[in-house]
Amino acid sequence: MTRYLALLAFLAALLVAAVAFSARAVTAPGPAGWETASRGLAPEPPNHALLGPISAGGRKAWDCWPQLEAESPTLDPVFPQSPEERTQPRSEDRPGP
Amino acid sequence: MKSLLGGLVIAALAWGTAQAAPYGTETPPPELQRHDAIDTSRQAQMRLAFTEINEGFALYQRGELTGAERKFRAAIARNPDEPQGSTAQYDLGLVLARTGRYDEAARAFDTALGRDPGILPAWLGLVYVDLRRGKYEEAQRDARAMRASAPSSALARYQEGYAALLNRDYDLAASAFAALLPGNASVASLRYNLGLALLRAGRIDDARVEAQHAVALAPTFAKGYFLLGSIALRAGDRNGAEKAYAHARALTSDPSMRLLCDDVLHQLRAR
Repeated sequence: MTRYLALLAFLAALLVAAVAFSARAVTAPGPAGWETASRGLAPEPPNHALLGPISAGGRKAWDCWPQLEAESPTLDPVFPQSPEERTQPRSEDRPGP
Repeated sequence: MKSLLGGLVIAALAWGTAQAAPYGTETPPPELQRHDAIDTSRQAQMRLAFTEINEGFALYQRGELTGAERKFRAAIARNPDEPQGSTAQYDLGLVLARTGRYDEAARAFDTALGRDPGILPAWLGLVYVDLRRGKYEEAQRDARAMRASAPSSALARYQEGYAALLNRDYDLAASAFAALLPGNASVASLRYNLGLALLRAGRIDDARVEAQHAVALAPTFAKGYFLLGSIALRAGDRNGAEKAYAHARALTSDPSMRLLCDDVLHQLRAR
């Protein structure tokens, strides 16, 4: 009986330790200021998250820039400016993840 | 008597119909004539839809979104053939997205893509409205679908990484941004996003390299210094963090970022 109770107590202690350890892993506090800093870590959206309209004769036309930009294999047309040249926050800017 | 009267009525109707028909002796068979009339009417509708799309396009370019919407809706009501059908739906989706009607916009973009999956700007529009509605999982799924339909599109890959980052899928975000590096290594925003994804994924050293590239490419990029500060903070380098946050504070013109910098610096100095 004593051995049984000891085993039970050991298992209970193990369970409590496991729960405490996982809770600590999940809510591991970052260094001072980390929580605040996290709020400022917003990703940079592409400059043109919405492209322009297409005319009735467009899409396959040589000057249909929305389609050409969407097809471009480089980001050149997406970022015509350096990020620091953008003075106003864009409407599509999202809060940090 | 009844059958005589019936015969007279039928004969009168037949005579009336013959008089009303405009066909001469050279007239093609009536059935073919009917098709021609339908085709002509359809062509007229198509021409009108074409004109309406172009008028809507011009109004949109002038910023007259209400007028543009009216024109695009009128064109859609004529159910034009491809590619005008999907074009009108896409253009309408654009107006709706610009005016904050995201659910309706998503439906218009969806319809455009249902008619023509090759209309890539509609995929972008769909991802945009997903993000605006906070539907990050859907945004990630739609960005993936766009990339599947245009594997070489850099914008599709970027959107996939961006949506994954917002959806907290940090490893996928990092791999999407890293895949863009060849050919785009000098894009500071890309290096910044890659650095951010790596930091979130816990790869501190790799994150630092990318953030350093971002600020070297764009020396007045305040967000880049803010990221560098956060990486230093996470790595336990308090002095490095303080220096980078102070630099971000000096560079930024965004009041909310200035406040954040002040707040973090205050907490760092209080210890």
